[in-house]
Amino acid sequence: MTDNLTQALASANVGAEERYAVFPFYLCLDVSQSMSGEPVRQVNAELPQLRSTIGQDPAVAEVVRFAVVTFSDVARTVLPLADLALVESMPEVQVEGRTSYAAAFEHMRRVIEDDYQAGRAAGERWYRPAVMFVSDGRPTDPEEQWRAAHKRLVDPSWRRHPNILSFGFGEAVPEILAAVSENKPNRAWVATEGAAPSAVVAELMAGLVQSIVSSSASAYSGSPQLVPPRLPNMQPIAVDELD
Amino acid sequence: MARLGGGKPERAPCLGDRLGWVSSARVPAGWTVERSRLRLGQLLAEGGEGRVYELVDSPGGPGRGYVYKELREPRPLGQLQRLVAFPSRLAEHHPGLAARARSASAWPVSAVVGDQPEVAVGTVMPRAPERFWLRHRDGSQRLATLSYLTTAPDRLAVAYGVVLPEPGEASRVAVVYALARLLEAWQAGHVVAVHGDLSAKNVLWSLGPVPAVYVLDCDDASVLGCDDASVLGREASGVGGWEPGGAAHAPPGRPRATTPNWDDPAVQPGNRPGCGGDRYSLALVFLRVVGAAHFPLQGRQRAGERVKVALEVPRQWRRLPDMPRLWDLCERSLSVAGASERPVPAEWVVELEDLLGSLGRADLAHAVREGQGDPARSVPVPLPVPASGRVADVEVRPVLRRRLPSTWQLVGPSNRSPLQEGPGAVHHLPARQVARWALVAWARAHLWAAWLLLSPGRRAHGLRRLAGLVSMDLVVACVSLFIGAMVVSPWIGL
Repeated sequence: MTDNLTQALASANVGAEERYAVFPFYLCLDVSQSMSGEPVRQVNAELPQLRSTIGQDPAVAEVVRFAVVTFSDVARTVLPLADLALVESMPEVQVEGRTSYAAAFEHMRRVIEDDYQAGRAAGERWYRPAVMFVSDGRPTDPEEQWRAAHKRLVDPSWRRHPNILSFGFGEAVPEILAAVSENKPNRAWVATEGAAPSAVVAELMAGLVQSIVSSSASAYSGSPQLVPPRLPNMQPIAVDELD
Repeated sequence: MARLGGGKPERAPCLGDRLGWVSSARVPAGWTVERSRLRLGQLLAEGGEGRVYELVDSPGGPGRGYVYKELREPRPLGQLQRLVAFPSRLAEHHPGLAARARSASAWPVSAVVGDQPEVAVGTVMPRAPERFWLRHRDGSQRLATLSYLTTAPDRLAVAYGVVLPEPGEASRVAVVYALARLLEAWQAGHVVAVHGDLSAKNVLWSLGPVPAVYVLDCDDASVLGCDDASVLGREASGVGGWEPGGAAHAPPGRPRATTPNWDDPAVQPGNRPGCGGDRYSLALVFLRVVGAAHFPLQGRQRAGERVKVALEVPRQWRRLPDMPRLWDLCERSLSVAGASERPVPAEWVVELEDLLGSLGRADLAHAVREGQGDPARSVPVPLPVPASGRVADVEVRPVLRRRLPSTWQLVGPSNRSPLQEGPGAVHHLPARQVARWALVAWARAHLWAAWLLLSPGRRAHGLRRLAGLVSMDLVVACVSLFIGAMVVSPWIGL
């Protein structure tokens, strides 16, 4: 059988090393003071559930990469982009100061670029990343500042620019959230006025899990889609593979 | 209410029963059960097709060990009755095949009716036996889906603490062999069943006590080629006739939910997969389970590209004889251009038996047959000689596996061993392995010396070697005695 094996080694083939492209998801979460109490408790309760549902399913975990970025006065990566099957425990997010959208967008651009380069070095292929932007308030930094940072994040000439889905509740402003999602149709969602933040967060996190699971299934089909949570008017978004 | 039969469906005894794989709970009393006789337990799963509940014992109804699937869209009763009756109808002429089909699949045992007697609102199916569950390191129990076998074992060991055989190991081949035998049972009789979605989530596996598979989601299977269409009404079946050649798809009927990446690219959207679809899946399972990788083919095949697959095999496969029939079998099964001529599962059964024999594990094939309650070997089918010079749309060739260091590591604090035993794990303790090697080396050295001693002309050499070995044995015995005495003496007061 040795001759056959040697011949086969010389040709280009579909081989075991040919993996599916990975689908990066970034949860970009507002942890300003207004999130204190029940909302942040709910987030911390739901994150391990998210890890369990996604990470413990070998088929989903293999194509999904997940990161948690929090922002207030500053933004920080509390869970670096990872295969959730290999994450032993989820971080606890903590409430901090104000609501700097600029810090969030600048950090997101830097993190996505770094993660992409690291992934490429490790031989990964990437689908366009998805950012799930969650906020319960209006930005506290000057408008021109966060808009400039946002422009850099969604700059079409930057090949890694993500698809952004935004979700708001509490004091979040629908027009601003729509702008965060580049005013593209069916990408921003605001909870109805008076909805209990804890219930909204729980629903949102469950929707996020469902979104990631559905999106991972589409990644296997070869026609990847970012499938948003089941919310009114949300439509799947076709996702391309990065160069 | 129309009933096909009121008696308990007969069931051939199998090894599975003796090992307790199949619940000893009451089998549903007939092929049709009224919804009011079921006592539902907890909700186990919810999907696009319906909700699955566990069943608890109830007087006159199916009990523990079974699940109830409540259909979102009720179906004609006759359609489900035809499905439920399949194993019994198969048993009329092929009891062995029927035993296989029952032991290796969650085949519906009853159609469930509600207020309308001709409308099935659900089905009762056996629950996946205990051995088809895995325990992760964190204690969570998961169904042992094929997803575990189609990814790098070192990643799973680190991620979940589940230790699985390396790619190309005989136990992986035996799992595929078990699936091939199930498909043979479905397709070789006078009635034919088509699953249509043999995907990672629908095929469970187990390695212990013997390799086995257990196929789920059979309530949406098709039964083809029944000759009783005039009795049950052909339209009630929702499916049409069967083409003996193994059509790539069955005639249009209710759409079959299929799984991306596990579907047959030869089946057009909207068509139900036929026998050919399951044959494609079998070859795909072989590649992915034996190679422990995904081999993404369908996208390229749909684009009309010629696909070349390099299946990584372990280095010990170098010692095997050439297996052109095996690679030819893969190519014909995966072909889109030749979808209507895909090989029957019986060809796979014969070829995989040969492969297990070549790997020195014919015992695994025997164990699989025993486990499926049909220990007889399949009647060999005439295998075609691989055509030389044929231009196939799929080419499958073996490639020697390169041993690379594991790239996986846990993220976050860890105070546990990354390798903990899972129920399906094949794992040897290093100390025992070393002891076994030492024992084998000792025995071989002595046998070699004895053989030399008995060989004319080499006796002196044998004598010297034996003397050396005996001296060494004496030294080892003295040292062992001394160490033993040191350990034991405090306990006996010396």
